[in-house]
Amino acid sequence: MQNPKHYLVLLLVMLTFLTFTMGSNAFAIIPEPTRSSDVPADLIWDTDRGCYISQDFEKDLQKEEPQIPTFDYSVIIRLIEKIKLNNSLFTDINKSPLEKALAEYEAEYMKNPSFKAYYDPKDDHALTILTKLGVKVLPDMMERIQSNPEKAGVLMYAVQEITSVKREQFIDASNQGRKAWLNEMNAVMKKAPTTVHENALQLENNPTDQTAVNNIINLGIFAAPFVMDEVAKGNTQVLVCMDKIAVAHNILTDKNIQSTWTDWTKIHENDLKVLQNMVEDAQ
Amino acid sequence: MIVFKKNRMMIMVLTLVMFFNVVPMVLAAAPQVTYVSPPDQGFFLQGKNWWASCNVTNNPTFVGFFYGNGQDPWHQELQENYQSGTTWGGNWAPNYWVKPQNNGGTWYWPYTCHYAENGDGKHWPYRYSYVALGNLNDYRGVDTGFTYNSETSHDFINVATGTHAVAHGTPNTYNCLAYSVGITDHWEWPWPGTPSYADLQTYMSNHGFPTSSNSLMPWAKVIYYNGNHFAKVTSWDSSGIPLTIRSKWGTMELINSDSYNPFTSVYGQATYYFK
Repeated sequence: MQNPKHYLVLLLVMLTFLTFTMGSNAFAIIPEPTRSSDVPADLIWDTDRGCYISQDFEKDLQKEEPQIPTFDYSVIIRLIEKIKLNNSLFTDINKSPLEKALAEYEAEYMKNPSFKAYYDPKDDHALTILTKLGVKVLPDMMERIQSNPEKAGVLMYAVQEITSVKREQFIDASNQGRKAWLNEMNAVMKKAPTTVHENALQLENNPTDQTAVNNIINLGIFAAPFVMDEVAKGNTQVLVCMDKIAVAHNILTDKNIQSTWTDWTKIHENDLKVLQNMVEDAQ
Repeated sequence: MIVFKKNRMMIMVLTLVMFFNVVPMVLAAAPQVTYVSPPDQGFFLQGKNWWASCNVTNNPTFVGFFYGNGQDPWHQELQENYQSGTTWGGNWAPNYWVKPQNNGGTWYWPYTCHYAENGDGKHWPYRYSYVALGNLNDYRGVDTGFTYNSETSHDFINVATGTHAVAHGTPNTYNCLAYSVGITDHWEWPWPGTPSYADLQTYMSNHGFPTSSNSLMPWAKVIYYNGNHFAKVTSWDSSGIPLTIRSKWGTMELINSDSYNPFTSVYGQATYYFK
């Protein structure tokens, strides 16, 4: 550039550029105001945003974001081939009714995402998928709660719904929590035969003894086989409890049955057998 | 003359060998797929259509788009249609959530994959994508200022952890309270329902936040909202007023909010402040 005019033009261009960029925030740096002694030591000034941020957050940010998987990528083609062969159906064949219901429950539950910070079974509309399985899956549920923390909590709620034995304060999916809850349930099963028998005698003597009725009802559905034993022995006074138990446990309620409890017993023979076996195992 | 004939024969033989061996090798080839969209490491809202496309050469007999977390079940989202040139594609309308994989507390991206095959082979390039638990209305229903400009520009920080750990015993998930005190491997909620201010003061003090206030407190690090929600403050102005927060929305994602009091009645108002 021999001609001084060229320097002048270049200078003008640079001045125009600087004026433009200084006017915009493109290269703006917001300096930290005089730092007062109130500012916590772990906060740093963000010169881009003009605010204080936590050093910890900056460090944790990457940890809090999802990471790139480091799994065996060949799994993708195996899974795609499985879909294309349409053999995902085969995986269901060996599943127990409870396993199938748990998968169905999970899918249904996630259709209505919850914003709540804690679980409330009253909000869980999918829980009926598990409770409607009824008494016949109770042993399977109890076994799974004992051996597998995965979904143990929701199974505890399902068992409580089916049995009407409520031990909310013990529901905790930790090993210790599951043990405490199972101990509570076992204690109820263990005392079921004796409690029913003793209170049935009370009712035979005094059919309006509400304490005796409550003692039996508190055993939940585990009282049912023993109440029916008492009825078979001729103590029909105890049927007042049975009515409450059956109503409370709609698993065993059959709306079509308006006749006698004997008929009811025949219809629910298998359920009663399951309950009796559970109680025997708890002894 | 004989030499010439011999050479001509050799050339013919070589030509035939070339034709029957090399040409089929060139013609018979597995599809080659180039992943085009959706973009890598995107958060995809349910209730929207996303364009999924790829470029495929070598005459594919099937082109499909798949999504999954690398475990069974894997999902075929759509069979892609031929568009033009070598482009195949289709509308992807995700309407369900797949739980991302977790290993030792770290959450991993699920995969999206374009798969093409023909009689000679297959090819399946993949990227990382995550389908959010909800649609835009779900998120705006909680925070009207929830930002979602695009798959890669939004207020999401981390994936949803799914079912309530309290009820399900699912390890390595966390709720808002746990997150606000630096826990990400289990749910915390030591109260039967809504905690009292005294309950909160005791809990927060035991977890490193001994100072509390029931009015806006400069340099507060954790805020309690009266709809039973907690958030960590992520930035403050020069006088200590919280500017932005980050919180875990129930079973849903870890999400940034652009003010300290952004929530609708779902989570309620900022009520107590801790530092």
